[in-house]
Amino acid sequence: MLRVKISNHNFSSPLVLAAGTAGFGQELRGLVDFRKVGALTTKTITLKPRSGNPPPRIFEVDCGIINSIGLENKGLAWLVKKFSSLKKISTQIIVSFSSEDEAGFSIIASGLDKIEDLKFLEVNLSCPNVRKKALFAQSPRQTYRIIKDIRRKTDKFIIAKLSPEVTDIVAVARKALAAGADALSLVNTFFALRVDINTRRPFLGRNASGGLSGPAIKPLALYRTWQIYKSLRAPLIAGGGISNWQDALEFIICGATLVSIGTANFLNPQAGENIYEGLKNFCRRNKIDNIRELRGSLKV
Amino acid sequence: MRIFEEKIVTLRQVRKKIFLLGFKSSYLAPRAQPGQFVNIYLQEKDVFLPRPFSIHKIESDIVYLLFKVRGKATQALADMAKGESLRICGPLGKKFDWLAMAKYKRVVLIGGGIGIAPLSFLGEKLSSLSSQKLLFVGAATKKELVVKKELRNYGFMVYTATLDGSAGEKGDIVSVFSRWLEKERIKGKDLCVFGCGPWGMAESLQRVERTYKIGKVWFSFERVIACGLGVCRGCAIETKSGYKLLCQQGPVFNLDEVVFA
Ligand SMILES: Cc1cc2nc3c(=O)[nH]c(=O)nc-3n(C[C@H](O)[C@H](O)[C@H](O)COP(=O)(O)OP(=O)(O)OC[C@H]3O[C@@H](n4cnc5c(N)ncnc54)[C@H](O)[C@@H]3O)c2cc1C
Ligand SMILES: Cc1cc2nc3c(=O)[nH]c(=O)nc-3n(C[C@H](O)[C@H](O)[C@H](O)COP(=O)(O)O)c2cc1C
Ligand code: FES
Repeated sequence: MLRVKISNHNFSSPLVLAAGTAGFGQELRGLVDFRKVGALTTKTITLKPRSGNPPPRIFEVDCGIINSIGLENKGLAWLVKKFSSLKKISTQIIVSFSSEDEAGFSIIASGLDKIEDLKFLEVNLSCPNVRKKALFAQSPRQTYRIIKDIRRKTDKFIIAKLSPEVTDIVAVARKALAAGADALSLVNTFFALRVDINTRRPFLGRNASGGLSGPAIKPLALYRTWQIYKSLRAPLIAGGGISNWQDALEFIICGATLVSIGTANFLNPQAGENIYEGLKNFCRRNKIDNIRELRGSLKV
Repeated sequence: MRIFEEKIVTLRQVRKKIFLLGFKSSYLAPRAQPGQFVNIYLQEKDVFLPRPFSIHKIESDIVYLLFKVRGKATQALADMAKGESLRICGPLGKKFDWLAMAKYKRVVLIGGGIGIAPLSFLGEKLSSLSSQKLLFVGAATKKELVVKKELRNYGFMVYTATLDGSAGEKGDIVSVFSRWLEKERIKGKDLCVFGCGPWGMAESLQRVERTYKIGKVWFSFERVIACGLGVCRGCAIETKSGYKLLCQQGPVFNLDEVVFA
């Protein structure tokens, strides 16, 4: 009922735990029933280990959080060594990776290509907390070049993770697909800032701004999902602020093949399971054989 | 660690804005150790992120939290009633190796404000030590000062202070502690300290630690906790050996290691 297929890959459900919100899975062992989760996207890794941004890194706002983690991770070599043990959880694993410079992406892709059991790569072109310059995903040309370089290095399934912070998200999406991406992932967080009026300093660490996630961004993310779906009909892993099954369904109706659950994992590590049960009941009640029947069914 | 639901068995106000909450948990009670905490999920009360609370004490299978009303979440907790359910994740954080305190002649616990919360549980474990045991507790005013009588029973000599002088010595608790060191001509190296309280208190305690060359100081820190499970990397604390995660390597850190911004 909830099984999903993209090309020849099977997912036990349309639910994906989003990058940076479920670690590498092992942290959640015993707490999460991974059989109900279609895939887990790892924390984004980079070529070299990164220590991350100065604290404080998280600030709670109405209906969401602003984060400035700064891609703290142990680097490619660690992931390569660790991968066989990550594979033990019973869901598909998507490895997310990023780089500060364009050249780094294809180097990491070559490294990941050697991991035989790894099927899915998510290219994070859109982390708001790393580069001082524009995001790669803000430039259709850079997006194209990076994905193209990665495509040359690997036959694995490539997902391009887009930023919502662009004038024309469809233009970027189109370029990513033209360069050889198999699917698109959206949205990453929105740039955001909160200020302590007493000290006139930002609430987050020295980097001042961060990325906004959670229910606050859901309508913004839904709009972008529908925009891309209606023009490109590409496989989408979409989300932003999903916290219950109704939210997940909205994204599917707007064209998502898979939906991603991010911040909600912090509020309830079992969010994925709850959404799974909710979707299943909905399908049963409405005599829907497979959830894909609803994909892109928005009536306009 | 697990996520579970338990009913509140006691909830009462003990001082101004300070509440004692107990729930029964045959899972947590035998497992939790001093230094550890739980996350409480309060989405049903319109609180977004879970909120962390230290284990205050454990009596048979009842786990107690001691909390101060600060904002939405703590107000919602204070407004709950006996019999209502709480969704809890724990035990979280590293167990504090309190046996490491045994090799010092004197053991000092310092609590600033609600920083007293984790000290009862620790104090109970320390009660068997032959070291001299002292407790320094401070608060803004007498109405907020919590001196746990069980700590006296565990053999602690108690010093108190308030910022406005309404009880105990006047001043902040770290100054009172450093005056005591001075007056009693205590040799720093014979001493170990466990402190808990706000960041400013930690910073001044670190200065005292260095001035008096205190043998060892541990401090239990606060940070916004999003997941509590090590997945979000949001709870970093800067130390001499890089960032460390409060929810994994803490919340208790070797104070000398911590770098203040
Ligand atoms: C390991 C640990 C143990 C703690 N133990 C206790 C305890 O035993 N008793 C007690 O009274 N308090 C304890 N605290 C602090 C307690 O978690 C906060 O007071 C509480 O989260 C405030 O929530 P609020 O909605 O009432 O206030 P808010 O209005 O949200 O905030 C008030 C203050 O609490 C801090 N805070 C807000 N959200 C969080 C969060 N998600 N995590 C941590 N801090 C936050 C803010 O920085 C702010 O200074 C502990 C904190 C940590 C990290
Ligand atoms: C604490 C935190 C860390 C994140 N880390 C990453 C990351 O490493 N890589 C990435 O591509 N996205 C990262 N994200 C973005 C999420 O994967 C997701 O795209 C975004 O939060 C929007 O979804 P949500 O509203 O469901 O959280 C992070 C988000 C949060 C809140
Ligand atoms: S709170 Fe998420 S890693 Fe510590």
